[in-house]
Amino acid sequence: MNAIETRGLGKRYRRTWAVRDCDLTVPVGQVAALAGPNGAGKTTLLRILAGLAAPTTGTATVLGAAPGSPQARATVSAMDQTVPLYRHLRVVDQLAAAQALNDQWDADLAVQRLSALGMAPSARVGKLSAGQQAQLALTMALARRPQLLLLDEPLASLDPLARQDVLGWLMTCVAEDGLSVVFSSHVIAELERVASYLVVLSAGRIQVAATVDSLLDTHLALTGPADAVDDLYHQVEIVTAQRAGRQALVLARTGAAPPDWAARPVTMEELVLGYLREPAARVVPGPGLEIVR
Amino acid sequence: MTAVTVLRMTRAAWYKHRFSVVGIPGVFLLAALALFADSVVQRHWLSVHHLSGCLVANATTGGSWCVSSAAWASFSNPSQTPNVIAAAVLALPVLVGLFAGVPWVAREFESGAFRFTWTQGTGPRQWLLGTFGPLVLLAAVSAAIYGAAAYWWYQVAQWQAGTSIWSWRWTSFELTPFSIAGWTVLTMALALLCGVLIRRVLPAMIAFIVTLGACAYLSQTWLRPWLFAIGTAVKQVSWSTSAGWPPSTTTYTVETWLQTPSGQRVSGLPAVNNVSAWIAQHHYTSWVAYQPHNHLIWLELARSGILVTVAAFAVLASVWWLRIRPAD
Repeated sequence: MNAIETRGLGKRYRRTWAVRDCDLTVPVGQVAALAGPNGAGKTTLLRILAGLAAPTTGTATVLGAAPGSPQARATVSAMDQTVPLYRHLRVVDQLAAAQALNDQWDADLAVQRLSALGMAPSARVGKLSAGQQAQLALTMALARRPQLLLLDEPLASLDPLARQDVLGWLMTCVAEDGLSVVFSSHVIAELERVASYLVVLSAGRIQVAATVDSLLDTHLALTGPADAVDDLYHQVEIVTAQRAGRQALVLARTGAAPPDWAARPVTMEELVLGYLREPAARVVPGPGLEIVR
Repeated sequence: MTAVTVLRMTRAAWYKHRFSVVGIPGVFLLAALALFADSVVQRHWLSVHHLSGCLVANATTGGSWCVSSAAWASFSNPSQTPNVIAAAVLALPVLVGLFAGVPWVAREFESGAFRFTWTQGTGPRQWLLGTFGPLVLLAAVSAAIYGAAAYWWYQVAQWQAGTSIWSWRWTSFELTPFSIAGWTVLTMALALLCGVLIRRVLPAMIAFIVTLGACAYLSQTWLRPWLFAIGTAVKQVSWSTSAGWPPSTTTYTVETWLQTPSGQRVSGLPAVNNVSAWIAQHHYTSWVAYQPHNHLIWLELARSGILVTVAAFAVLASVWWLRIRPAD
């Protein structure tokens, strides 16, 4: 069973397509990072998967169930970018409301996590800092003991220390409970630490969707003479090429460096930025990880 | 919606909307207590002055001995205060709908907090009905108690205003437990509909006032007269004397007409000096269609039933709109 499966998924707001022709499969047990520029459709895609928005075209399933269905609600937790909380409530009442809404609720996990964060149960949610509110929302999402966690920009309002802490906690949950996670973020360096699957969205379309290992294994950063770039197009599949004076930096999909070119492994950040610079380049899911132009 | 879902949402509503859960019955019951206390004081005063017998439903002024009593005169001093209070009493369900009914749903949309509930174990429909259900039930029960207190208070207060008691007067008709509970259910349902349609607190409040105003206007100008014309009793009466006419203090006259011996209605009276003689000369008979006093309770129930039915349609429309346009 796949954690996420979409076929021809599209969502249109009036005349604008936020997500279009989206075919995506994320296997169970993956930590999938959803990257893309602002307005790429990350939030829309996550909201569709969370059952918060209805698709205009196509279908989507989460853990084999339709998003928003009772089966999906029982197994999928989501944290929206807006960190939806009842800000007039105290923390303890917010937790009680969440507990009342769920069949399955790990109260110990929630209490321990919040006390470890030093969050007073009597504090008003609205008085908490943005980072604390995000931590509270994340705690409640995990206290439901979901099998799939959808997180939209969970790290955006956190300081670097809190980011590390949250990611570490997430990884513990993944390791202990076999949790699948899909999360969007602009902080690509952070994604690299935890993501095992990468999805890059650009202009509402899936540009890259593959395991991180396979992407890193099949891409190299090549440095060489700028006037040789044109010839290089005949030798390897080039994702993007940047010229700086006589030198050129090329992100190529290849396992070995061509003659006259110095090669080194790419970082995930280079990979993501390379694809975002060239929206026409795509890596579609499949055994061959074929670059399509 | 299963019983478990209802219980779960009721508990969640308690945590999320404690102000409304406490505020709605609090406001109604406090107002009921005030009306009850005022009524007790007035009734005690009448009892002390041996005037309780003046509060008779079938008397125009409580009887001649009441009219001549100085104590009664000081009690039934013509004043608009009781009528103003009666209007304020009727405004309370509107205020509850405005300040407790509209905001809970509109503010959840406005703040985005609905996304919290929708991503828990509860879907949009359960969220809407599971929160609305306990609130409207609480409001309806509190309003019925408040309506009973208002009814008991107005039995005395209308005498205080110097007007004769007449149960068919609009204020009397509205100040009953059925009517106030019915209006409260309607205000809560309209508040829900406005909140779901508009999804912004202030514009939804304005839309609520306009919609409810239209409903109240239609109820007074069309629904009540239409209801009162249904199931009337018809009686032949004497044109020239008051004999046989239904008592004006307890009944509601819908229509009077003259009829020819062949059973046809007379369309108009001629310009003659002695109408009674003219009627007798043509062997016309005089008829009246009226609502007897024992119909009042059924008409009140019917009107409240119509209000609750309209409320049910408003709730269904809210659910339907949420289904075709979830908050995305």
